[in-house]
Amino acid sequence: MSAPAAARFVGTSVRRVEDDRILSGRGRYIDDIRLPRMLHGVFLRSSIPHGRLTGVDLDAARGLDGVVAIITAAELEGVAHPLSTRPDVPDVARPVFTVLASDRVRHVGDPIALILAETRHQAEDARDAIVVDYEPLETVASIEQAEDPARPSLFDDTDSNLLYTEATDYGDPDGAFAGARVVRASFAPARVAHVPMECRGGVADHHPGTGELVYYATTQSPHALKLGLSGVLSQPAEKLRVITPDVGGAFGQKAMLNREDIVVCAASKLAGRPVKWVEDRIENMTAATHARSETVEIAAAIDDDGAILALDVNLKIDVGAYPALPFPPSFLGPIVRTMVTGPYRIEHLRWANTVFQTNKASYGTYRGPWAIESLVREVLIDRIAYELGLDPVEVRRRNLVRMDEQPRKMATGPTLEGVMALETLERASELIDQDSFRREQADARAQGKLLGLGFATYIEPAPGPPDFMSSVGMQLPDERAVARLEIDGHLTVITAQAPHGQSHETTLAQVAASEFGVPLEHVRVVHGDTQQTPFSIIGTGGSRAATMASGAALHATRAVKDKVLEMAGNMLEISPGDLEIVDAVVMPKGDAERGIPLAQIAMAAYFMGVEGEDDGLRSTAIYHQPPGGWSGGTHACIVEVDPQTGVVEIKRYVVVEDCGELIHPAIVEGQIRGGIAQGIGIALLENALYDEEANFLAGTFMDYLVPTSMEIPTIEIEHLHSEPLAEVNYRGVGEGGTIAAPPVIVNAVADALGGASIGVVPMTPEYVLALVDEAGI
Amino acid sequence: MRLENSFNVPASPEQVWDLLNDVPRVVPNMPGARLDEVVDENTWKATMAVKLGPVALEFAADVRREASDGSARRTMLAVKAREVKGRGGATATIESTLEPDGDGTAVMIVTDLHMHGAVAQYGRAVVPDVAGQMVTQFAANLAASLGEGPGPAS
Repeated sequence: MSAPAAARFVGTSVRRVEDDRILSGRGRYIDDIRLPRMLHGVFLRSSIPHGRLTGVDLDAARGLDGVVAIITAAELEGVAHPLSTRPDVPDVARPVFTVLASDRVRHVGDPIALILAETRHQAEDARDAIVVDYEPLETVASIEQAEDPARPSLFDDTDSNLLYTEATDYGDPDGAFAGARVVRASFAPARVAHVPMECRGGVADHHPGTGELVYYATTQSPHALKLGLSGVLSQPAEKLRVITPDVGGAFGQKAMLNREDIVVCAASKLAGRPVKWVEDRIENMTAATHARSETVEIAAAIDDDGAILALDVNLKIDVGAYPALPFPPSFLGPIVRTMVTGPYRIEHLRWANTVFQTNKASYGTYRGPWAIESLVREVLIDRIAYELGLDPVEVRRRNLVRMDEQPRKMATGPTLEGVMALETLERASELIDQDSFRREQADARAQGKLLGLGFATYIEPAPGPPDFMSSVGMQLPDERAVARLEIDGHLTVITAQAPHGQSHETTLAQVAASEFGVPLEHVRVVHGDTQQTPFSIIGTGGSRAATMASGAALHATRAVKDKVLEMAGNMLEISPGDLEIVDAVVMPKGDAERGIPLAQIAMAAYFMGVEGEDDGLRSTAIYHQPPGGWSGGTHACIVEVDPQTGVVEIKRYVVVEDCGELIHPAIVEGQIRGGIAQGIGIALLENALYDEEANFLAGTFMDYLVPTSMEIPTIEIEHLHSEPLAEVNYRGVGEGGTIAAPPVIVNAVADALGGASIGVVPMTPEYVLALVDEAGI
Repeated sequence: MRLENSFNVPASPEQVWDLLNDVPRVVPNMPGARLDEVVDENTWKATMAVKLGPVALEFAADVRREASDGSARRTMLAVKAREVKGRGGATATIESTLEPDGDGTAVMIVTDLHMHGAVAQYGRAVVPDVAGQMVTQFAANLAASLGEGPGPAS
């Protein structure tokens, strides 16, 4: 007798379903798609940051071998409508722009034309033969310049470069600040790039005979992309299908309706042939999205014991030249606002947010999009500790909301429930052994070595409680999944997720197989085809899958199982409640002798049909957000700062976190480590740098440094588990690493330098050397 | 980006002034440069090949004389250049001033250079060094043109 099915898969690091395909080089990515008669498209992009397009001479390019067509803004007139932020988004400036630049370019990499040729290299040669004349305009290269009324507005239909303003008070910040001690911090992180391993791309296949358009896209959001393309191209939805093959990473960059997607689809319509576009690395670094392009000033009103009474936050965001549709420029600020008090007992907040356009690439959501709040708050808490002469752990301990105070509303609205922030802080502090570290630090210092210890505590709405999105001011739909019994008794689970590294083919199969009582390899998870998958405006994003997609898959599977047991009950003349499924056999509980193979029931269901049921007892489940919904934890790290070179080395890195029950421990820990790697990049290396005239200077990996295995330390992970608040007790874990790593490293470097005031990431060797000088070391 | 370079030529300021104002004669003295077309007496088209580190670039340039002040021995050229493979471009004003220096002439060149596109990205760090080397070679070639040396280096 085998163990109950439920115990067999969930919680076990089973071999990943994806591995055989992806690790053996058999993945199928955009560039692997080769359709008959397919053309290759290459974009001509602006080499200047801002200017009038005074002439685009295509003659030489048109005459080259293999060139079939060159699509410019003129060819797109009447085919692809101009773009703008949706009219229902309140209080935001919405400049209108063409899909390809028509009379003006607004950032280096702004697309001007798509060259279609029989081969990629012919298209590239033709691109290089195009002569573009620009009349340069004064540039807007920073938030300060965007605030300057003397600088030109990027668009004729906006009066200034200010796109959005928000100011809100929660509680009584004026009262709390009156007479209170105030500690301040400010932060200006560098712009960073998402750097997916696979850059953007797509293959559009418009059939002139049927009018059907199939777009193979590397996207996180197939349905949102379909919706966007349908509108912009006036393509009827029933004749538009988005298929997502394997996606080589996205980190938020592939959640957009890219202008390039629209052009590639329009080009296939115009040319009457399939068109492939595969972005190269320099194009991706230059013209895809960047993130973390923000400045923030924060002040805390505190009492003498280090209790934080109120925060005053002023956030400015540089969203680049064009909104990364479908996200409006006002998308990010409210999430930062909602999160900024974090897991702390902070009752009053004064909030201001302004959003600006500049001559830079668009701002795209990036793993932990709201992370600036955790960065600046956790750095501020350490500053409070230094000012009061307290241990930073003690300041956190005094302010974190304890489990016995929950559920408790954050000042900004969402309910904190099941949040183990304090427990993770205590455990991280124990693991790092602060007392012995302080002795080691003093000994090292006597030998001229600079060691530092930092902590950062955070929460992550993964997916957040039911009142989270309403606090942000948005609505998110419930999650759907479909389950269908196949004729051989196997199960197909169709998810609305669009995985791109999250291993949903494994984790959702674990959940479904455990529920259904079948071997793992009897479950197939289908995703990424708008003709098959349930609608979701998100797809994969926002750390929702662990709860929402698992919940939907569980309930869809359960619905099919109930129907199977009903059928079997009739066949065996036994109450369905007395039946179970073990190893793909339906049997009276504990009585394998009388079991019927699931395949036999499936065969009967298909051949005879069941009144009122679809093929395969197909069932759709809609899963609603359960209470709780927070992941989070505490990171702690020890660094050594070399006072001669300014190089920061991470000596030890500890994570204590709670994301509920682990479906697949290795996948969870992979998500944590991957997130931390990107956080280390943000803290120490990555800078999508523009010069003072908005020229882009970081288009290659010689200029844009990403962390390698040399910079990523061993990461020690420990999981805590709060009391389950719902049956589905799995929560997302994808973003926490990227959120917590920058502040924990900043705090550790500050500690190594005796409490240095740090307001910039990446902390390059030059910057660290300046801090060393300032600290008089 | 502002680049300042200077060199000495063993010839009188008058001789150097005459040469510097004869753009078709001057251009071949610049390493990698070739005169393609004389548009009018103040406008020329030229091609210039430059190696910036590992990257070989070729620019198609429109050169225009903006000012020429014989009494102050000061000329100003404006250059607008496009990298022929679409990797960006550059605009520059080049101000040259001559002063007597012993038996010869000191030539001061102040270049205000704006690069854009990929050129700006590759070039930023190495341009000052490359420009310095080019000016040194330019000076040697110029001296040779003035009959003091073995002839222009290529």
